[in-house]
Amino acid sequence: MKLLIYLRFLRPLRSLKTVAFYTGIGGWAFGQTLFHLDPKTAWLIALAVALPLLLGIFIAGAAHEPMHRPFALLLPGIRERQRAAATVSVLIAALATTCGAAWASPSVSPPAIFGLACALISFPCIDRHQVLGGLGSGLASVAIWLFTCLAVGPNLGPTLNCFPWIFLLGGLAISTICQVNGFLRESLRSRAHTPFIAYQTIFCSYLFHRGMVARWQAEISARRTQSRQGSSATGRDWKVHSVGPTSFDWIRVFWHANFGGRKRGSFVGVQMTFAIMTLINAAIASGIACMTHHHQFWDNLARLAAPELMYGIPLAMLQPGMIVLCALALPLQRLAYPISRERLARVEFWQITVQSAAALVIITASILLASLIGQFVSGKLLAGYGLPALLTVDLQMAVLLPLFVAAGKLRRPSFRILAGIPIVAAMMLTVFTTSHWIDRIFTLPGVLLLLIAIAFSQWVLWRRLHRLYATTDMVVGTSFTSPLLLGTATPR
Amino acid sequence: MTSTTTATAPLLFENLTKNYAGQVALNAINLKIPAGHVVGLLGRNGAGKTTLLQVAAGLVLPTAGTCRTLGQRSDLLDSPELTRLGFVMQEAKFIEWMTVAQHLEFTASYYPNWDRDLQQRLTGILEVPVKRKIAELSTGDRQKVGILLGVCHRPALLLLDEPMSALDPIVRARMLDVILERLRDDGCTVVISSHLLSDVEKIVDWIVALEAGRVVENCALDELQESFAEWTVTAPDGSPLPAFTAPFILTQQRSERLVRLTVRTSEPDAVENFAASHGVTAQSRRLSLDEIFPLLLAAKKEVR
Repeated sequence: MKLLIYLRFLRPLRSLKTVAFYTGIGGWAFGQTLFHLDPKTAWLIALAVALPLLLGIFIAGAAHEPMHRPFALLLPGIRERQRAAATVSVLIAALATTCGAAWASPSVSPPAIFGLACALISFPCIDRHQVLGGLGSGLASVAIWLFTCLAVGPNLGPTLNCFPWIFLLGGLAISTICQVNGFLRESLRSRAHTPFIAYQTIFCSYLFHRGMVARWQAEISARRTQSRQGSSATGRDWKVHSVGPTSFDWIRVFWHANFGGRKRGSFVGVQMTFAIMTLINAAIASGIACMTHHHQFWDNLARLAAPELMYGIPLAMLQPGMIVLCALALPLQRLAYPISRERLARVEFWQITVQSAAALVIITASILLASLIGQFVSGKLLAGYGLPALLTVDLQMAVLLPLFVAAGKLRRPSFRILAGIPIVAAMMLTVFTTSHWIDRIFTLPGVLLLLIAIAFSQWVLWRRLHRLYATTDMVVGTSFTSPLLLGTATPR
Repeated sequence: MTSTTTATAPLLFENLTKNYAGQVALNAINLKIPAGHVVGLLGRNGAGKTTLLQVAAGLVLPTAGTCRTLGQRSDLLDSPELTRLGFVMQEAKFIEWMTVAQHLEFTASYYPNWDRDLQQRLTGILEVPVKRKIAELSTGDRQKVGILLGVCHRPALLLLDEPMSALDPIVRARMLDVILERLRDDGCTVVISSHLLSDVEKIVDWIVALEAGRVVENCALDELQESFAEWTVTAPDGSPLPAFTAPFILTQQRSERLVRLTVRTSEPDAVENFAASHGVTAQSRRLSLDEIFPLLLAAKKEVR
């Protein structure tokens, strides 16, 4: 019975599917194509590093999730039981990993792989899910994997073979330390007061149970705001005596609902945050391309605005990826405002339009800035400083973005997925075919066609919102991931 | 509650203080709750009732002083004590994606003495929708789930924090029956915090009242109810009555031919003595807890 309960948290099938998918991506797509590792090394890193880290995230998630509720402090022996479940899971997962890695790389010492796997699987157990919206261990795992790919690379196998017993004993010691640390009595108290839902649960809940996720986000955001500002913090005063008649007056009200609970932060602040995030991402993407392709960093930075696809998906997808993230940054708080559903739909439409326009301008300007710095430092100037290529993507995104948001507002999860996939595919296609469109788009027919397409996509978004607000229950707030990261969701 | 020794007191607070961001929630509380009693924890919003219960259950750590729950310091509660402790929270946060049945099964797995028959029976009595997900439950249904999770392991000490605030009157009556039954069967100690004083009155035998983080009353319910009374005073000849002054008179409400006095006195023949000394007729009526509560707090405020 207890095993069944633990498995209910672990969700083995869903976890294994996700782990297999990302291990495959790590081993093949990234290891071989992005980092140019030989297939054997790429698979060894995928199976001996990426796979254990992923398994660890899911095992730690299942073991920790029940401890992240206040009632956990009342359940007798919860720490001991969850630790035992995690320990058994770690050993089984490490054995499976060792078998897989030994099969893919028979020349590498199995005891060393077992030790390494134990350490890496146990590593996420130390995550207390208190910072970065509970994403700490996930981000650290990506960093470990990147470090192994970039700094260790083909030396992983020989290193494991050189010190097999050190890896085995060291790995087991690290594993023990991580598991003891992850289930300390002191940590239980801080865990119990911080909401956390395991990744395997949240993945599908995002699509199928938005209300539940929205409540969880509000809870975690409230907790973060409280811990940053103190429980007695009062936020900002609303100084407008009466709200004007236009939708933009109401947008100000909703912005206040988003930011009023905090001392800092504003609409402009969110845009600036995304601008800085874009610049950092541009530098990281150029740095990774620099290490794997042995080009100059400044050349890579300059080529961010080049119309030709140069260094694979991550570099090219920076612009649409950041635009989508930034456009979804501000949720609309469905609070009890004295306005009609029709007006609410209109306010949300304009808020999305303003935010999308800001995202298009800010992200494109940031990438252009990064590229210009690269161009001037390296002395390799692009045609039109790369502006035409960036604008081509930008204009196509102006068509696709409202459609993407409209797809996200569909009521049925299956419809959301079905409508979202082709739009995401189209976004990727715009980047891959920039050089093809660049000359066609800046002509009179091209501009006319784009304007008609933008007007059409805006109309689709308006129709969707109008329909949604005419029929939806007004009790659950809309939210995406960014309010969680930015802490902009107002606690209720 | 001074007659009981520390060893038999399931709850003992010694100089307990709790501050939240500079605000005092509990101020030097000294309180002993002996075994087998049903204690009503009364107080206005923000008086410190929830904090007191959360400290007792080990959810919140005291700023100063100590709380001993079932003989153990509340911050060090472990399996031996936790298996004997039940806590029904005002707004419990469950695992939202589970169904009620799954959550019950999950919680039951931690308690060796979980009573599945009791769970079955209470599920029926409280009309708990066991097949529905927690995320889909109404506030009332969530409260029912909280009650089930708090009582089915037959705790020796049951802490109830506003357990009935979202329940309808029918379920509330059934819930009170359940508590009474638990007392009859197991003789467990119950501390219940509630604003529904008419319900509390039916089951409690001891009252602890809090105001601004301090204990302002700590006595048996009977003793409290005997000390408060409403006297209806009339003149034998129907003449107008003068204003009465006495230290035990708390309020007086005058109408044309009679005066209603609310009084607090521990003298057994107070009403007869009052009538004789003033040459009036006076009839005494026992007050309900609902009527006593505001008088209690008002009287303490004046004293302070």
